[in-house]
Amino acid sequence: MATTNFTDLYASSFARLVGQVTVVTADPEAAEEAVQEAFGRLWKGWESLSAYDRPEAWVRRVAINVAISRWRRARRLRPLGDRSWAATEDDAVTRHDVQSALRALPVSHRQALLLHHVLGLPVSEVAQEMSVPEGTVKSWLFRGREVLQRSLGVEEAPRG
Amino acid sequence: MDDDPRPDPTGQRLDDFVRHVSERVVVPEFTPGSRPGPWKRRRERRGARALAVVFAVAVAGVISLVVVYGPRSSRIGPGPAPATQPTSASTSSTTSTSSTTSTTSVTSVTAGTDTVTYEPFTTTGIDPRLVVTSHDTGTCIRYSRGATARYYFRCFGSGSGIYDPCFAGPQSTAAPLVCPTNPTSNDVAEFTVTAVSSDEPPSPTMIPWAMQLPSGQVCILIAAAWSGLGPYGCQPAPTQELAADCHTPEASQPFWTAECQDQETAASPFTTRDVATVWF
Repeated sequence: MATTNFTDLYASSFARLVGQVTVVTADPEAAEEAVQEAFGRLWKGWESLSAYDRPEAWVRRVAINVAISRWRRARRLRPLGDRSWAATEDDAVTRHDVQSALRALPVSHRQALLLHHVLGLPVSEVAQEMSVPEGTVKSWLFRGREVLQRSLGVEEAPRG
Repeated sequence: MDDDPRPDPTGQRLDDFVRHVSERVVVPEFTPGSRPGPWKRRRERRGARALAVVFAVAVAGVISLVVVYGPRSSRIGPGPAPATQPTSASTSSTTSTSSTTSTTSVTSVTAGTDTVTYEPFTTTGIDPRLVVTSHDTGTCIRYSRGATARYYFRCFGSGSGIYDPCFAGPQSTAAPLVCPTNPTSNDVAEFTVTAVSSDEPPSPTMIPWAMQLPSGQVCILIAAAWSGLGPYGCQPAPTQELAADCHTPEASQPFWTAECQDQETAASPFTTRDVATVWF
């Protein structure tokens, strides 16, 4: 039954997707709203969308688009990720520093980092997904990593 | 050489971040068939906003009534008009497999690697044999590499594209730059410069912006390298021989050589290849 499958997908992937989309939004609340919106759209089109190989990937893509679209509408008011967010003590070291580092990056860089480094898509697929040349993706990844490394004090393995 | 997958601390930090956020998400109830649960909170927010608007309208109405029907002395006569409630607005690239003799000049030909200076301009403008396939506008950074004394431009388009390298003609940045993406293709992008933001310090080493392997595969310097990959990204080869990324070529004789890998993963080993042509 489609409903069951949808519910299962929703229950099993919602939190994960919010975590992933937060790499792009640098704001968990904005990510959660975007994922909610994407699941709403999935539900509306579930009859046809359920046939997709990877509906979770569809939700993720829509959620990212929704988040970016909302940010574009509101960017004159605030940068994406610039929202007060109550954090617990243990968040401070682990989550907030990454979140702050992500905020220093353009959204395109964050999206490329998510697709390549978190989701493991090869550069060619990231380029396809983002409709840009592979060289552009590599530049974004390079610069994104540079900023994150600097901000987080991460040391990369030396180049071979 | 990158025979083994390397640890990726930056990717690991991102993974940790995603997991950390995910673990703290309380999955809202979803009720198919009705307005789903996830909207509850937003709906509540919207309800609160609506109440606030109703309240504000009511207050404004009361104030208006006071202004209109209040004591005459407050509406007429000398002196400042009565203060009303202030209203606050909440504002809240490119040349194909041809010899490209039309757009490049061979500065030195040896029995080994050809060294070519890419020249997309004639004395009168863009080489007429080039085909401009796209236009973009934006800012650029000027830079040079090694002792070539040649300037390149790295340009950021109005969309999300990055054009690198771009070349200036006789009119410098007053005229559109030419941005190739492949020196063996005649297709190029034109880039209109709105500002040159800064000059990057010159790179100490003279390295080509593109090279071609004997397989015909063209590899472009993409100014990006991590975990042993890059900085040259290779485009699909016309033959079965594949190469994903290459390291910076060495100017050995008679052939320049480059370490290239078969697949674009950190685990794919780099092997030494001869280089047929390098472009500056």
